Amino acid sequence: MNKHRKKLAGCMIFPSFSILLLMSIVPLCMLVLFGFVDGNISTMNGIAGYTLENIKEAFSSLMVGKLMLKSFWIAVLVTFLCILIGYPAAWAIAKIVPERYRSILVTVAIVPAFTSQLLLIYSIMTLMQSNGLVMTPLTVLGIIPEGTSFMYTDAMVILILVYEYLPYMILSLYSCLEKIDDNVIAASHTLGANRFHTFINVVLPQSFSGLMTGVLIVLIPVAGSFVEPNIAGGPYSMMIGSLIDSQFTTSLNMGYGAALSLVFLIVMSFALVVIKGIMNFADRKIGG
Amino acid sequence: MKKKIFSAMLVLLLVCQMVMTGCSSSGNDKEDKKSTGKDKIVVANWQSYATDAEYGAAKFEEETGCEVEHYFISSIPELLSVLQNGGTGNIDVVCINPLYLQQYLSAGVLEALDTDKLENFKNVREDFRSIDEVKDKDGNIIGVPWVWGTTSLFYNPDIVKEEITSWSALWDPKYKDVVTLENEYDAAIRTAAMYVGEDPKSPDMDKVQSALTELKSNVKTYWTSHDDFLKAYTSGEIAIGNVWGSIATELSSEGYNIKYVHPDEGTVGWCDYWCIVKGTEKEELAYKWIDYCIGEEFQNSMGTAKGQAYAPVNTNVTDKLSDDAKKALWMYPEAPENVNLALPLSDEDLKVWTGVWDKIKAGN
Amino acid sequence: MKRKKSNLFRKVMIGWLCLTMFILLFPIAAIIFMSFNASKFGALPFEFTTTWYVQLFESADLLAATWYSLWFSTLVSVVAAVLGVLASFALRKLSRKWNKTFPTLMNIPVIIPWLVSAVSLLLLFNLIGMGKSFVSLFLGNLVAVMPHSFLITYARVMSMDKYPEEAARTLGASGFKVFVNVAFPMIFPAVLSGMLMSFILCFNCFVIQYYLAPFGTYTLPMLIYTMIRAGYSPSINAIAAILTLFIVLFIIVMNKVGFDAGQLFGKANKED
Repeated sequence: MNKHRKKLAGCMIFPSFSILLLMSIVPLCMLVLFGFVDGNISTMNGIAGYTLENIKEAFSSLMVGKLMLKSFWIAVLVTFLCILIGYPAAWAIAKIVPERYRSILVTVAIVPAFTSQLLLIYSIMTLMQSNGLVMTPLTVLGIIPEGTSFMYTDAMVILILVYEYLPYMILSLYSCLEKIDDNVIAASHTLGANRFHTFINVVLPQSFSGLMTGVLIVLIPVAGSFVEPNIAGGPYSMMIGSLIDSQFTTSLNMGYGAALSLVFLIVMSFALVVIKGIMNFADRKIGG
Repeated sequence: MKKKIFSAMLVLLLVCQMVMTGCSSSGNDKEDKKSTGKDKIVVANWQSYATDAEYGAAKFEEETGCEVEHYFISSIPELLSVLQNGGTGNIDVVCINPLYLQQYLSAGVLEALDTDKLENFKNVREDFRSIDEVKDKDGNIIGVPWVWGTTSLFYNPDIVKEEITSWSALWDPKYKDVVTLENEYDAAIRTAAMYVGEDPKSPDMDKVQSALTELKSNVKTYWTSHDDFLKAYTSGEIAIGNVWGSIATELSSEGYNIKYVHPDEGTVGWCDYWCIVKGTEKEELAYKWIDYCIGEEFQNSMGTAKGQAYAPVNTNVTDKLSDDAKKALWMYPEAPENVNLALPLSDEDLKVWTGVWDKIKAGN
Repeated sequence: MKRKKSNLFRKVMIGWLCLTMFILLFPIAAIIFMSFNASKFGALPFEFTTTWYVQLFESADLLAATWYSLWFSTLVSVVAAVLGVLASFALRKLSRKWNKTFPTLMNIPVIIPWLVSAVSLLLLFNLIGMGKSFVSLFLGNLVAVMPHSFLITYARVMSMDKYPEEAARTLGASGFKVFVNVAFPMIFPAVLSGMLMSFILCFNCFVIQYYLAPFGTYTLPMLIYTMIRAGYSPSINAIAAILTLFIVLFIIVMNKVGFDAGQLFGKANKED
């Protein structure tokens, strides 16, 4: 019986496992290989030669380090803002709104994604420009001085990124907040815990898994983004994604691009391990 | 209970059906195309770039009875990797900028051309059609020029209240935070080279780099695409910098106040070439297409198109252009003289030039 | 007293949700508004026109690409969801080692920049002779979105209560029945979230589609991202407006009919 079940489990995991293995481990290995290749495999006929230069340059360059740090900082900020805005919203959908509206609200959250990302970026920029719909009332009311412009600043880039990734955060938080048993919360209240304590001791630990998924899904793409800083950013808004992208799409310098991607990969994996560690620690602290 | 499972299955069935019809309808499209039996040629070009307009492929199809399918490109190097990985044999003609010609040639994806097969070739501007850089090692012509233009200096006269005739205005502290530059290494480096008085073909990179770094404190944003520029210009965030002539033409035809000048130091230009992909089975049709694109009819329509017009290369057409058309193309009374065309860069130079530009953008 | 406070809290939360939704939908509203504006550059004052809609229906390209993107993304997200559910349930039965490695492996496609995986996949597919084809396009997009679907479902499955299932089994329900009636309804919200997430990812995934789509096939992002040279036409605003309208209609119909998939399974669960 048990053997049979194991076999079944094996069959169930086989398709995703094989796709994963083929479609992502292979590119990963190729990425490592590209890092050592001189020139560009995809445009030249085969491998011209091997070199250590790309890896050396990518790992030792101050410029890369700075860009990486900046991208990481922006990604952390955006992720944090997404959690800040998304958590209460997801909570409201999962626990307060009547059940029949839940799937609907979740679907509404993704409506913006049916438009091209580019259109959305331009639309937000139009709204935010100094004589636009959002800024004009603010200047008229005297909240901000006249002629203030957020266009082409890091703030604009962050705003757009938060807007784009908020639905992902809401979706992943919703799916895990939804499962928390109402009775447990009620019990906590009955036992005299106030709202804050209930949140810290009961709700938060149960939502760690969703938070982790959300962080993974938001943090990494944001750190690697290049379209938003290119369009909405100023001259000092470049992020690591632009540098990687330009190696592939303008410089034809695939080796260096791959080496940069490796740096990105290592830094991001490290960051994820740290975040996971912090969450585990918090979980144990609260649980214990 | 049963009812519900039933309805769930119905939904699933509907989804499947949707997917299947989608599948089969797209499949049918392809078969339809095959079954018409018409000669078909695949042309790689930018989207909305003259050839896919009414006066472009549609007219050609009407005249020859052949079919033209466009493959839209998003960058010239990307097109090269597509050509290298399954593109040859699927794409017949490509539009490329000579900037990457060296890489295309060493990849061996382009065919040497026999210009005798092109009736209109003799009418193409000589300084474009017989450039040494657009030939392969044996001296064969590789590309046929079909459109050109400049990436020159624009300014918004509502904000910039003086007449500008030199690139040095960009570096003027007066214009801090209203300057823009195209986010493209070639135009940026050549522009800076003219400003510091270096030869734009092989400038002293240190001088260029320090000039561009200095400029950065004036820059509001580096624009990356047509829409990007329009957004910045129409919202009044930028007032001076460099831009493609075609965008300035479009803006002024839509009633925006914009001045577009060719500075004294010279200006940056580009010329796009048609090349035939090696191993194409549609060689004859490819020549027909190229000949059509440099023919008078197409060139004239392209030069006088509403909104986005591009400068023709056929001298018969340029000679006959009306003053208004010339004005719209920023070529009145004469086309600019001192134009530095984008020319092929060797692998080494490409690395250096793009590296410098990356450094400038990343620096602070 | 407590009741009052609780009500206030609920109101604040609902208010926050409305505000968030409003902010999320505001730019879309602006796009819809612009789709009726005559200026090509979205300049004001507003001047009503339907030119962009006429243009949209006259040029077959955009509509065909939109339709292709829609059904393709549906296909990919459904397959990703099915694979995600299968893998998550399998992991419950598999050893600890699997449970440690498999989710970690799933992080890889998320961490590798899409551009890099697109280029390497094109090289890989070319090597095995598939090149740019529908299968390549499908697999490339699938692997890009699969982790999102899987990670959400997996997180939910792992924290799932085991008792209802055991109870059902004790009462004599077969494995399949337990899954359909007990286990699946419990994880449905997560599956739905994962599916929606993979749908929007796939719907906007330009790079992978650009490199892997067969010649002659265009998805909506491919058409839009290649407009860098001459700019996007406001017809794209019109597409956004139409798609939004369809989603809203869909939601209304679903609500009126009372057919809400989550509810469907949820109720079935309770009835049993």
